[in-house]
Amino acid sequence: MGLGQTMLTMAFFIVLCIMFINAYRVLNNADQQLLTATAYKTATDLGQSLMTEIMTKKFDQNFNPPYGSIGSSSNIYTGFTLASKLGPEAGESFTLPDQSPFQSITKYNDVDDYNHYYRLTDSTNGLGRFRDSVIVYYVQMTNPPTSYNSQWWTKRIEVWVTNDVWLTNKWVKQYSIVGASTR
Amino acid sequence: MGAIIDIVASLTLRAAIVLAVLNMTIALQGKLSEKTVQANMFSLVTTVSRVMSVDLNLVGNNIASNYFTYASQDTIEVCFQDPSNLNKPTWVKYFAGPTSELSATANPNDRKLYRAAGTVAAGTATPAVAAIGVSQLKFTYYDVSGNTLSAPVNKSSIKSFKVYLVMASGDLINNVYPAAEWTFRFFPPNIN
Repeated sequence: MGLGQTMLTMAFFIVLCIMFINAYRVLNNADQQLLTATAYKTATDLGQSLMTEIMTKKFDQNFNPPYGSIGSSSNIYTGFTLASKLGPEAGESFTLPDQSPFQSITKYNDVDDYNHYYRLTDSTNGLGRFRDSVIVYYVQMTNPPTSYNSQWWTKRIEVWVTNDVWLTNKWVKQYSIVGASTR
Repeated sequence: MGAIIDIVASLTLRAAIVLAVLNMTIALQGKLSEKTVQANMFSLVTTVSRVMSVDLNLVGNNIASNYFTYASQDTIEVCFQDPSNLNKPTWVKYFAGPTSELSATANPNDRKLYRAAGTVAAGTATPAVAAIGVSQLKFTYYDVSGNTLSAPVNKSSIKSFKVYLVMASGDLINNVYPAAEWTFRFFPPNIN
């Protein structure tokens, strides 16, 4: 076999190898993308579920509804939990991360108890563990994303869900704003 | 003799290369089919989950008691006042049919998902097929403390419940039945 033929054969094998490597990448990417999409969906469901759990709690344990209307001249909101004290009160604490069966269901009695709460949830679809974190803070409806440093009629709940393997450095974030008159 | 060996070796090598390329093409095609069907299952389970979520989140809406009229591991029947139907007290039931209904498919475990709904005043109603291809449907019920309620479930103790739904393809692709699942724990606001 002459040098030309040898070179052609080698070039052919190189092209073949590149083709196989690309094919493997396509297969691998298809798997990764579908699993990542599944992880996003699972994280969204977990976040929504946690959000609905939080929304069943009272707005603030210091008061029972009716609170009066939001923005009314009543200054009843000054009796709500201090902005700096949002979180579990005495007797409501337990070791975090919370794991199934979740203690938050029985220990927490109002929305702001979930401030800085986090739990680990095992998925059943082979995606491993998800970490669901919550922050709660007062907001004013005129500027809802910005934390308000004093008590007010409305609290913003943010639920952040991630997965160490499939959502590395990525979070599915959901939020709700609850008003004092709802519960 | 040397020339014959060269020709045979050359043909063998070509055949091996053609075979490898063919195998790769078949593997790619198979994987593509599997992922496409899995994506379809993903889409289907999302649609079903949305329908079920709308119904199941309404449990207890504007009624005083008997929020759950049936609660077992494979069937759930809930009551609420339906805001989209003149606020009439309504019941909705979800359950999976027997595997024999889909015996024509390759998957031995797939079933039909049924949804039955009607007003309390009218009583029973004929179930309608909500989806095809349910391979698992399981309901778990929890009390006020978050403890799992064992069968027979005390319906008046239910404060939250979890739905676990797996939808799978009826066809075997790449030796698997492509599937997608949905797990959601409901805390219906009207019963908490």
